[in-house]
Amino acid sequence: MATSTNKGNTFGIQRGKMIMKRLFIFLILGLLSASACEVVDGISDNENTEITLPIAEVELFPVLLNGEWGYINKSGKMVLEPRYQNAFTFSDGLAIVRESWRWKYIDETGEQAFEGDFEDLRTFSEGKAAVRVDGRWGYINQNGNFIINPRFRGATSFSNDRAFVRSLDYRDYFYINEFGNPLDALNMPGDMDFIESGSFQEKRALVLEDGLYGYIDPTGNTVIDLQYSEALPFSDQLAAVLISDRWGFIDTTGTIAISPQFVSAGTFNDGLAPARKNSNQYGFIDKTGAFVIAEQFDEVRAFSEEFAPVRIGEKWTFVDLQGNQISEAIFDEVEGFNKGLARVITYTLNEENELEEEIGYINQTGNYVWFPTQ
Amino acid sequence: MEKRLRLFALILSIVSLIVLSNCDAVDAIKGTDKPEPEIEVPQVETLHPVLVNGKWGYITNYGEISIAPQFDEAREFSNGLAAVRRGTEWGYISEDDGTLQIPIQYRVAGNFENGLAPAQLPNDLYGFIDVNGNFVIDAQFDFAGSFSENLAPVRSDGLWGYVSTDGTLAINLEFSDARAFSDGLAAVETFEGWVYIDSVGTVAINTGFQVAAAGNFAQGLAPLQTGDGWGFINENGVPVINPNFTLAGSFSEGLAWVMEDEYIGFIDDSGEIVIPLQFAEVKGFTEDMAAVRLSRDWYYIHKNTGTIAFNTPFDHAESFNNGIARVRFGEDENTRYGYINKQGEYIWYPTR
Repeated sequence: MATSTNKGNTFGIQRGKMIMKRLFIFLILGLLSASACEVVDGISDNENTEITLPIAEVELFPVLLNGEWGYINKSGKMVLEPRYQNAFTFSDGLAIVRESWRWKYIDETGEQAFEGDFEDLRTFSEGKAAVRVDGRWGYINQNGNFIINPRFRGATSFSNDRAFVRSLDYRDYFYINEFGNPLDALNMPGDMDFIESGSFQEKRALVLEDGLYGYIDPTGNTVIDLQYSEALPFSDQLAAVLISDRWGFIDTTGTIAISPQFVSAGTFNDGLAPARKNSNQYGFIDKTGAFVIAEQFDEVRAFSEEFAPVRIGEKWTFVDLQGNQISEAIFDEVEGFNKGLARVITYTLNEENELEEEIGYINQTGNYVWFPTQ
Repeated sequence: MEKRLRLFALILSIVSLIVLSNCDAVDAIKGTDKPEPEIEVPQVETLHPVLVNGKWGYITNYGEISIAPQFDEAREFSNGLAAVRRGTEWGYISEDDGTLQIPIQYRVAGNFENGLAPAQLPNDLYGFIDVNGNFVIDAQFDFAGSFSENLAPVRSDGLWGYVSTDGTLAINLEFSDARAFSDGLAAVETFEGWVYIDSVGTVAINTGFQVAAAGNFAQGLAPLQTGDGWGFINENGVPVINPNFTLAGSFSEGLAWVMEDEYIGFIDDSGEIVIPLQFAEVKGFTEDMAAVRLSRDWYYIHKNTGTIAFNTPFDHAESFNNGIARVRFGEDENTRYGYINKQGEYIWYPTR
């Protein structure tokens, strides 16, 4: 962040922490959270879910036009005309929108997916969505039926069949399984009352107790002892951890996979992770710890769908796995690629000389499929 | 500049969201668990009170007006008769044709059970009337409850006993409190505490420990309050579910509600919590459904899963009966009553 107040490099450690802190705040405040995604590797028996079938993911993208949100398809054609006050990305075939001040889920035709008057709601993941009614969070399935009753004061989205919740009496935080039953904190000094990420990746979740980070598995067992002063969630089988004053990477057993050597490090995706070692700029390393994209950018973010956001000076673009830019760095902000497109944001001055953002989408060749609009 | 910073903060929030959803692959799964709608065709036509333009009438369980709204208050039918009120006095209408079968003349009119109803004329004592409105058990009690298992609790001079349907005092007036009979037993309060008596008044269960409160037997178990809290005894008086609870209700359809701290869940007859403690208030299960209050709003839950049945909040919800349940919105003169079916659809949209 060029204009950021903290030292001009918010990537990596600081950025990761900001994200995690923000997620924690989401949990507390009950704001909309993003879906934490992982491959759904099994469909479990549950008397509430007799049959579960895979459905095609909806490839529609929210755009803002004259102050109202609609959805375009991958080639930039408007599919759902702008009429929403808010609109979020599709996940598990459904998207959250707000229309006439009411939040609801819609399907790919724009139809309300099911009845329900929710005070707050989150994006679907693993076939479930956290929703709030009467001041309490529970989980509904894709038919809108409660499969875990609203009996929590806070709730994150499911990941690896686990979700992080806060008890009705506000006293406890704990993970639940897909049936809503709490996980016990096993082999851990504390009781998981404070965590940083709230989600599982690679069947590991980051936990924090007395200023030290470790990782639990989906049974609640502490599989990597609380020993790190800083740590990031797992991704691509590895997690960045701070050892002494350098970042390295551990595998899911806690064994050091890449020795601590980096001033900052990020999350592996598509085989590469952001890192900074010898310079004031950032590049990407492979799983041997070698830089495959040299330290040359002012800020970078993790790969998604084989492209990574990079900032050059004040502007952003994306690089591919070889480090080739897909366009000139011309965007004021970008979001990672998702389903083949990336949201890009440009700032313009309006008639009152105020800065306003315009939202567009680019494809993997760096071309607009939707020019920035507001 | 400050504006720009704020904008950055906003964008950062959005970007954070997106970064968190770096999904390589989402194998979306679709739950097609919507149960096949159970088409429950009511076997018989039943009548239920509704409020229309400030007057009470009756609808059928199919949602059609059957008895025109004309009463100031109206209760559910039992034994073919329903108590209705005009002004300050009560009478009874017939379920067969909706006509007034027993004139409106009583200050108090209880439900008909075992063919009799406790009733009180103005400035008189409690007695029991038959379906023709005749006092077949003379007005002679300070208070009287409805019959169950052919016995009704009655009170004179501060002491409770039971009358039988033939009007004889079957169990002497000797208790400081008395509950209705169920499963052949009734909880009564003696000067030593609560015990259970049988239908001839013999003490059948005396636990031997101090019982502060005692509930009705159902499915062979009764909730009662000991010094440690609420637990359950069996019909031999043996404690079978430990008194771990702050409060407890009687069993119905295999489950009983229990409260720990301030939250209520349901246990099975082994005492295991099968629906987690989570509700602020509940009613017992009837017809596989129970009305529950979350914080402010009432919902219904399924018995087999314990999950919320419809995403519809009500200001108040009553138990299912003949496939429908009465729900309420609003308060005082704005109170509206409606009826829903087992699919959560209104068979009678709330009116007032």
